[in-house]
Amino acid sequence: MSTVLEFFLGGEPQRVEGVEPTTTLLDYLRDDRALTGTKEGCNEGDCGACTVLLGQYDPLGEAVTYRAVNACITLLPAVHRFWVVTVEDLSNGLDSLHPVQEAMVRRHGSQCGFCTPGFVMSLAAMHLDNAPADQAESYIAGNLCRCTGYGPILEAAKDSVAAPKDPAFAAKEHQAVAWFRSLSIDTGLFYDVAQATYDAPVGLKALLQARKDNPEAVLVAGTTELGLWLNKDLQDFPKLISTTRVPEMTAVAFQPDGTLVIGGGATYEQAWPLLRQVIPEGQDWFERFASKQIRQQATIGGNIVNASPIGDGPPVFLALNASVELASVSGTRVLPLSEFFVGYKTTALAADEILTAIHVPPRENDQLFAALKVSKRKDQDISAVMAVFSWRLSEGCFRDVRIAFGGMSATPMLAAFTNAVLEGAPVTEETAQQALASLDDDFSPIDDLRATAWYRMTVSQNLLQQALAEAVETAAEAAA
Amino acid sequence: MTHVVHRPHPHDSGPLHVTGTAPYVDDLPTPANALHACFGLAPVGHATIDTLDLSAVWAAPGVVDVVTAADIPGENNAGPVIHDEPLLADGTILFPGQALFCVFAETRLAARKAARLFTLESTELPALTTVDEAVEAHSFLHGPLVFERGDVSKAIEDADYSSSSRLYIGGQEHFYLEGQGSLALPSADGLHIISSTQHPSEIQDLVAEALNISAAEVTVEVRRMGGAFGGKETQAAPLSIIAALGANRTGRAVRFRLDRDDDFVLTGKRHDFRADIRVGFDASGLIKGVDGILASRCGYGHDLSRAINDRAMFHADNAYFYPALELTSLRAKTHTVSNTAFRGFGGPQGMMLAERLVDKVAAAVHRDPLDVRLANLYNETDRSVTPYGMTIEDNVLPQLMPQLAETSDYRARRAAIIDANASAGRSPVRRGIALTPVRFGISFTTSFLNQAGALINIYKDGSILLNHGGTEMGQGLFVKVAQVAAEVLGVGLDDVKISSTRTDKVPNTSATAASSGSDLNGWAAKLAALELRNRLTAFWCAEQGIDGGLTFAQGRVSTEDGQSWPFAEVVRAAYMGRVSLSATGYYRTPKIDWDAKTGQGRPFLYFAYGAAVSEVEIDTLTGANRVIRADILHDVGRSLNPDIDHGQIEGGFVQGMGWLTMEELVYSARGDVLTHAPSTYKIPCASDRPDVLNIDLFDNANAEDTIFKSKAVGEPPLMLAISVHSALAHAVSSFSPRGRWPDLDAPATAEEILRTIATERTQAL
Repeated sequence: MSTVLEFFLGGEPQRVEGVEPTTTLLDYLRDDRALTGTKEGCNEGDCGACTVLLGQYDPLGEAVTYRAVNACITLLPAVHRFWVVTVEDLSNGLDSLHPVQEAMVRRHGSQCGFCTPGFVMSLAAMHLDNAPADQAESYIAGNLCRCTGYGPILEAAKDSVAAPKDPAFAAKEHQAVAWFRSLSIDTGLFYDVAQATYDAPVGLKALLQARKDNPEAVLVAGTTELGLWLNKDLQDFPKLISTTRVPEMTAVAFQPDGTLVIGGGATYEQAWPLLRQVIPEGQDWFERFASKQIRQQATIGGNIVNASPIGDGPPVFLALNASVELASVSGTRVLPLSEFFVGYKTTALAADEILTAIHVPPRENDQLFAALKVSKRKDQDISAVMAVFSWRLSEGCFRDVRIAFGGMSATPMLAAFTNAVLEGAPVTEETAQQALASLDDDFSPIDDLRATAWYRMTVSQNLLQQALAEAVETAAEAAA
Repeated sequence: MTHVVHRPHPHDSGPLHVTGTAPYVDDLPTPANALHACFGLAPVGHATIDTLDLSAVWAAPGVVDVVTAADIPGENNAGPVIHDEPLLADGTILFPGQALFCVFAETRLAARKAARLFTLESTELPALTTVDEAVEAHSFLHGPLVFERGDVSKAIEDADYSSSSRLYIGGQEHFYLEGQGSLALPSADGLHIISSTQHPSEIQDLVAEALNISAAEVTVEVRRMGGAFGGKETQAAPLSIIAALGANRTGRAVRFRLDRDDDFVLTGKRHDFRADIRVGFDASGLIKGVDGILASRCGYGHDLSRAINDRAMFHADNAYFYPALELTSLRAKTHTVSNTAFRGFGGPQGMMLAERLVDKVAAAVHRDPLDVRLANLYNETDRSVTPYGMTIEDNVLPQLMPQLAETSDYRARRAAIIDANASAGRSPVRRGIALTPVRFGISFTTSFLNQAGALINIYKDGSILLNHGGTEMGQGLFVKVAQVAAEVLGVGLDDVKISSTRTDKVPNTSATAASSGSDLNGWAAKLAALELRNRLTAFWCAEQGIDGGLTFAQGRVSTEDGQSWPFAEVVRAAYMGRVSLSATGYYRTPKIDWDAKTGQGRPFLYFAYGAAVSEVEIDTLTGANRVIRADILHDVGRSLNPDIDHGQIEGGFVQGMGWLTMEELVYSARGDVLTHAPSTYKIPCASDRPDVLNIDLFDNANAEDTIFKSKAVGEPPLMLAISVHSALAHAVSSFSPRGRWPDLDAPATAEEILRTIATERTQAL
């Protein structure tokens, strides 16, 4: 187990001790290392000005993979054994710009220039991923620019994806690979500074033991939520336990019976390639879930345990009839997700338990699925309402109806009355009307800064009405 | 022929921006013992302070000093014009989040943590937070401004038709990506302050007044801002004043950078408005009389609210002639943050009134709104005098708007949209389209501000250092002014070295605001460069026995008969010949003359024009909306730098779109800003940009003697986005009874659209 942080930065291996574990990567870069190219715009992961890349070596593919993250909500210990790539690493001075930098200058992609390093890093990630040009909006959805109107940046993205790999950067990658290869096997991290600890074991057993031994500790993965408690509420976190180094926690796989098991520590981006096979209709939902930077850090398990009434993930998993696997040193239990949410931001998770996996049962061939997000802005916004519809039409009747909503009550919730009205009922206009009326029994949404109760209820009814009308039409066609 | 101006040049800092090597205030190296400042913010709204216990703040780790209003040696003020905005609360809390005290600590985190440890006992006072409440209570900052012409009541009564409506127009947070920041460095010679500000001279004055020292002891510097948009014209001052105070008290450098959430809470925003409109018109849609009341939320203090509301009045006609009118401007005083300058400076809100009014008229007379707009435009004969008595002489809209309608295929697209909406059936999608013009007055309406200075030094090797009073916030001012200097001195753009704005180089400057940056500073630089060119010409002609003039171009000095010398050679010879190679330029805008007392005069040197066609799509299930296509034709005169201007147009349009669609400021009942971070306040992101965005420059030379016949471009394009709002209303109007135009407020959020659709569906004419 390492007690020292090791990472690669600025062409040099780094060994860090004595920097507090709750120091954000951004503060470390700017204050401790005077790497001021990375900017602080919002300090909450919403503007992308602090975007850096974390490089990770895949020994099988013998390649470095990169993910863009927000340095402001990434804790320094989380970069243990990563290559931290900052804007300073992209070029060797003003005369040897990286293709994305060159394109940004040529296309007038910067005006005030403050958001620019963040955009450059997101575009660099796109370039390194060899992503198609039409994914530019997705790559920069987590970066805000107030000056340009984005056109020149999108143009620069198009220019740069076509550009060949930058030889200067490739040389740096080469150095980093040598460093990655020099690392001994990962035995976990126990990083302890001035009575504050960050414990990142590598085995599930050790993780569960750490959880049991430290009930006061906060369990973290991507810290996309904890980062806000730290930066905005200025809370202290003397004990953190990280799930990110436990392979079982990040695994995503289908079981022989077709159940998809998503490790509790798997990020949205890690889970999506397989989850997409279950819900290809969820592509829009997935792309509108926060931003690429967040999806590469935030875990599905965290999104569920957080139990926020406005999380985009939980309603989807409720509608998919998912269960959660809760483990502790004394055993494992599996609980339907609908029984996991107990009240506003409270769950059935016991003090010594960890959500180790989400089980998504196999989907029926004729199961309809729709995940509809309503928010002020299309991308990178918190939903006012998240409506998820799932049912089958069988012999003229609704079956296996699982309608779930976020933003409509104190927890993400199945629409119990509505589901009951529909279950087994004939697919008719009359049934649809009854179902719509019953939404009022299920939910009493609130007014807040995202939407009024009126709006939440009205869009929920409108979306359900549209979906039911389509069902009625489908049933009528089938009957005819 | 020009060599450097009227040509595209990239932003001078582009390569620095993309490599992260362009330093902003918080990136500068500071002395190791620098302190960090943080305000303690009022946790209540309007209230009297009974006791403020700071003992825990003092006792917190790392705290070096704590100051309250009583510790300010001079004036406790951050108000720019009227001194009614205390730097630190004194006895009364005027709005939620007001600064109560300031902590100076060894680290930023220590300062932020300590600043939350105070104990406040206060007695809540009644609070007025909205325009409606303040108007009802007759709570105003100062008396109304009224423009009158003819007998408006009679004109409206005599007209064939009339229409009345009310429009709410939301405010807007600047959301400059770089938050407010300042660094104060003490020295034996006085204070050196580096601030992210549009107005270094004002900070110099306010610091001197607060510290009871002379302005000559304070130097304020700014190299670049990470965006400003008006939000750093006056709002940068509090940080600099308090940092200066801390530096003065401790003898240590003080850094102060606001956390984003504090920035939202503490700093002013675009004024939100309520517009009441009554209009009389004939069967063709010709306007006969307009009775309008524009009431705005100014907040607790004046800031720039007088001038902002004046400008709302100057643009409440936008491009249209109102034969009879009564326009009244009410400046509501509320117990909320003091609102401030924001790109357009009241103009956009005024124009919203005008554009709503013509849409109402067009619907009522069943005509294409474009035809009603064209019919009501100012002309150069009998319909050329504005409500404030200025005659419009440079109107290009009668040519510009039809040209845009043609190139954007507006009429065919509108017809197709109307058909598609009519036959939409159960499809939840509706579309809308609108073409709206912009006529924006250029000059500070506070006339004395229309002055600028520049300093040019030529060194012995022929290199040129340019300095002027304008500040760079991303708008490309520095490259434009450098182009001007290079053009006049006949050198390449790279030969002119740009330097930071400093009050010790060019003094007594005006804010870089009102779109005036290149107009004013460009001219000042041109005059400085001409002075130097004249000196060099006189010297060299005498030296070489040349009759007639010299040409300065492309790095060479040439005679008419083909003799030519390198610029640097002439410069060195001039130095040896004891010619001064340093010159200042000073410019003041001619012709302007505005009397606020009578409400008459010529507040503007000229107008910038433009128009946009926007096509939108709405989802009638959720109200979700997007701009499918926008076409813009904009008049920047003879552009100094077409690429930079293009960027201003596109950026301004998208920023205006954000204001009118998704950017919603939500306040609590007692006036807290609840949307105080990008998690809750949504500015446009990349996918919100119109799918198709065509931008063209209108071929036009400024009729006035502006710098190389160019026109200001900073603010006007923002108002092109009014076309988006009008198009959204058009889409919603597919649910309205014939003849009715929906009362869609701004911002037209998804919720606002859905609510308006619901209203229209139940509305009988």
